[in-house]
Amino acid sequence: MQRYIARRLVLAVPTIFGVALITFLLLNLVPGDVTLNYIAEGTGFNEEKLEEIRHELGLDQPLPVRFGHWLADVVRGDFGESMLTRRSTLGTFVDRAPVTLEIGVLAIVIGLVIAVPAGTISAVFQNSPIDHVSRLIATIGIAAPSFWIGTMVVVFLGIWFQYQAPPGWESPLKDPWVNFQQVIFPVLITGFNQSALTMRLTRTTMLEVLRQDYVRTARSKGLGELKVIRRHALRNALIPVITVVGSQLAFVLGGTVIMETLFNLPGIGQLTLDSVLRRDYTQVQTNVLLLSILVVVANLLTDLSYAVLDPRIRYQ
Amino acid sequence: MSQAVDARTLAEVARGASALPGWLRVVGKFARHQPLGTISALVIVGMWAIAALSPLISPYPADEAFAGPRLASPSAAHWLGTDEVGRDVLSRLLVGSRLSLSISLVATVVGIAGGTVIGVLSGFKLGLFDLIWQRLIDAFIAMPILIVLMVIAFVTGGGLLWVTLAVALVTVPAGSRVIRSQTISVATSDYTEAAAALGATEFRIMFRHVLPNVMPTVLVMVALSLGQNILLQSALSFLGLVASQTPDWGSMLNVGARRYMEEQPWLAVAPGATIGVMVLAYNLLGDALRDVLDPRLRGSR
Repeated sequence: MQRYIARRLVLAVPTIFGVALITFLLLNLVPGDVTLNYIAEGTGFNEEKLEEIRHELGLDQPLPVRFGHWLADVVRGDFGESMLTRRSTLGTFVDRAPVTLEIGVLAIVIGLVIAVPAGTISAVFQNSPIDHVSRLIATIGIAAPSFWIGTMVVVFLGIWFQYQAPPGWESPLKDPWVNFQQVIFPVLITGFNQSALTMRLTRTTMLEVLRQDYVRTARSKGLGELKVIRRHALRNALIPVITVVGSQLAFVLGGTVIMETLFNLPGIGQLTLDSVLRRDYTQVQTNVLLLSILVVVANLLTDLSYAVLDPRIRYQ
Repeated sequence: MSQAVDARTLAEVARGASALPGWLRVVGKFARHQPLGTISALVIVGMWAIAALSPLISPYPADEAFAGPRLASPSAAHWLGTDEVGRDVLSRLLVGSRLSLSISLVATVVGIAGGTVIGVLSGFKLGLFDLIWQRLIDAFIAMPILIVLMVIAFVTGGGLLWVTLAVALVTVPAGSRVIRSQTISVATSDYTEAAAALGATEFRIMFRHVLPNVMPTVLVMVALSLGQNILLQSALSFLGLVASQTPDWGSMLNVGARRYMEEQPWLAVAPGATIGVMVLAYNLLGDALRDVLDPRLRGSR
């Protein structure tokens, strides 16, 4: 068990390094001159001033050196300043994080709440009408573009119900009702999308588990079907589903960009989009790095919980 | 006719050989076992044909402003209505299909090809090469896809070539993982061992034994990735990050629909539904292919 944990932790380190490397490369192999961002509009500039600024920012040094400096800073907690607002990029990220995290986590939870019962029922009543209908809904749920559904929701709410959610985002701790109105639709749309994917997985693993010998034994002991499912089948079938949750986070965090833009929620997705459009590269760099690290950590946790739940894994 | 029948040898008749060519029979078998998949394949081929022929078959030029009244509802003259400057929505949809379909097609082919190369090499050689590449792939998979695409699209100016390459790039990691595990299971099988025992070089084993057996998985991945990549590409153009003069489904959804949707809801329905239908078709085809080509995965339907 310790060996497994140690192995996973050790493997996470080069992954995080890889993430930092890719992030840095993405944002520093930019064609065009980044120094122009630092010059206030309206002030005249000349080559000398540009060179000065370039030197100050360390942009005249070779790429690997810059990467090293950035990495050293990050490890010390210095994520640099936003090119636009001069605020700490870390600070802005942390300010906006609760919005995105709330939507992301709730969406995954809703996804599971829908998918697990649906998948289980589908598996138990395999090939019945219920099975076919839920699989159909799942297939459509995967295909329908979330930005389309989101747009339709926003507009139809506006047209038919003259309803617009309160703008911005209030913390659920301060005003739960307002918060509910603000996040319910992004959460439901993203959650439905996620549940479509998870439902098929649950159904598959459930089908496999229900064919196992130990389930047959449980049934022959006279246990009612419901007890069999709850006590024996479900917990075994859910193990692969839990591992998938970790990778869902990567997808969901990326997808919040669209939901936040549509529903006007000041989260990290919207922040990144704005920063990209306004060429605030340091902010984007920080956002991408931190989001990805979040995902790596989430995957690590789900892998570890996988080991806790499935004793067979510990001996690998 | 009787001469043709006589020409068939006794062996052929005993085999039950029919007059139809082999490939047609395979298609027919597929159609019978996988009706959904076949319908999807027809829809897909139909859409590609329409995309290719779109300049010829669209009722109006896609950028002809005021071909009809502004923001008109669907009518006989304009089957899907008109947009904010009076352009015919149906024509724009048809012409827009070229961009949406071709970007996702090229990106998927390039991405899966890259993923196959990496996956096969990685799964076959294992060792240090595998270790390094897999860590890199893990890092990529951890990064939120849409955000990576946004960054690439914007810093490169959103040109079509760059958008295609970006989508191809994010297709590589998942593909390489699946193909790598397939390669490992193929490479450890008996016939590969036999080939090695007979003295085949690594290269030959990879090409003539591993690759053909990995192909079914590759095909399934292509179909499924096509679906995902259409979603990604339209999401990108929905966010306004694809620099292109010609319309495409995502930008139609964004520009016309968001601002004018209160006045004319149909503006959003058409492009969005089309994207959904295409993705659905690709997904169903991928599922059907998976059922047929890889018996081991059959349980995951």
